[in-house]
Amino acid sequence: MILFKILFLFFVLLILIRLGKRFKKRQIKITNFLIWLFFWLIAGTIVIYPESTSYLARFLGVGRGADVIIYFSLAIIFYFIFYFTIRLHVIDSKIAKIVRNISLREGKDEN
Amino acid sequence: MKIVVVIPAYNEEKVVGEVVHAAIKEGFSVIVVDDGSTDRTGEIAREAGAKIYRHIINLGLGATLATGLMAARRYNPDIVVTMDADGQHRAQDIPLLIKPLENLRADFVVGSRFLGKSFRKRDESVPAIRWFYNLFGNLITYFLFGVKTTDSQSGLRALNSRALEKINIQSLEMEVSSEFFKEIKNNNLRLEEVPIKGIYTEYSMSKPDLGKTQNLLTGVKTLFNLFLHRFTK
Repeated sequence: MILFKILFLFFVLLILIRLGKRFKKRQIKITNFLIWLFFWLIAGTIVIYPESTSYLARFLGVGRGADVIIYFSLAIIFYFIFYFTIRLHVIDSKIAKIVRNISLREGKDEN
Repeated sequence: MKIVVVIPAYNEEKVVGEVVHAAIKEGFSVIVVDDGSTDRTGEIAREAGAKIYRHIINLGLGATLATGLMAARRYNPDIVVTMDADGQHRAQDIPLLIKPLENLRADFVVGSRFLGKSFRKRDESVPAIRWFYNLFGNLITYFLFGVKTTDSQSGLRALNSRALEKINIQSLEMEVSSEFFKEIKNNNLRLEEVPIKGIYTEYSMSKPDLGKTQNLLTGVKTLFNLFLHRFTK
């Protein structure tokens, strides 16, 4: 268990460093930076004090702390799949608009 | 009466020339939108006498039709006809197709391969699987957009200038066929269907991308996109 904790914390640390670099280079917005910072800090805390999740589990009426984490993780993952699907759709539409504009412009000159 | 024929085309160099030629022979102006073809579709269509609009990358049927309709507006047509580039529609059917528009009975006409024909009495050229695929498309179109049609997947359509002005296509791919019906409903356009004969030639049935346009996965994706459209605007 100790090994897992060390590895996971190392992993979190790496992500936080990357996150910090990106923010410094202004590749991500401050809101996104804060959300992810908060998310990974909580993940780190949970790994160090796994018992902390049992309070939450009891509060929510879910059996074990580990289960709460899995439910939340799944919810978050599904949310992101949904979010990216919509984003992709939006990006597709934007690309189509660009391509269409080019074709209408070129068509005007040629035809 | 100024009539513009819009033909979306993707890698159809073998037949697009003939299709364009047939439409021009009937006296129509022709716009071909080349959806990023990797063959000589665009050049051949231009040589045959069409005006060409070219997508620099492949976008899909919906995006291509939308470009075609926008391009058509430049020529201030009284009527715009859309037809497939693979030769499954006949230019000779167009005068019949646009009759309801000329008589001011309708704003939008769909050329239906299934109107007044049961499964048993369907054209011998319509494969059974296509018949069922279309039935399913009709039901979905009715369920999502509340428009009854016998050929929701038809590529042969005619619009008057009012429909051309109102209809705004957002779809990028195959779901565009059903989106037209959504637009008809939302803009209170008058729809009429005219029976046509679909020509399933050896060529149109053996196209290399047939697997792409007709397989189950595309169907599911189209369905998903339709739901997305139904609940986004």
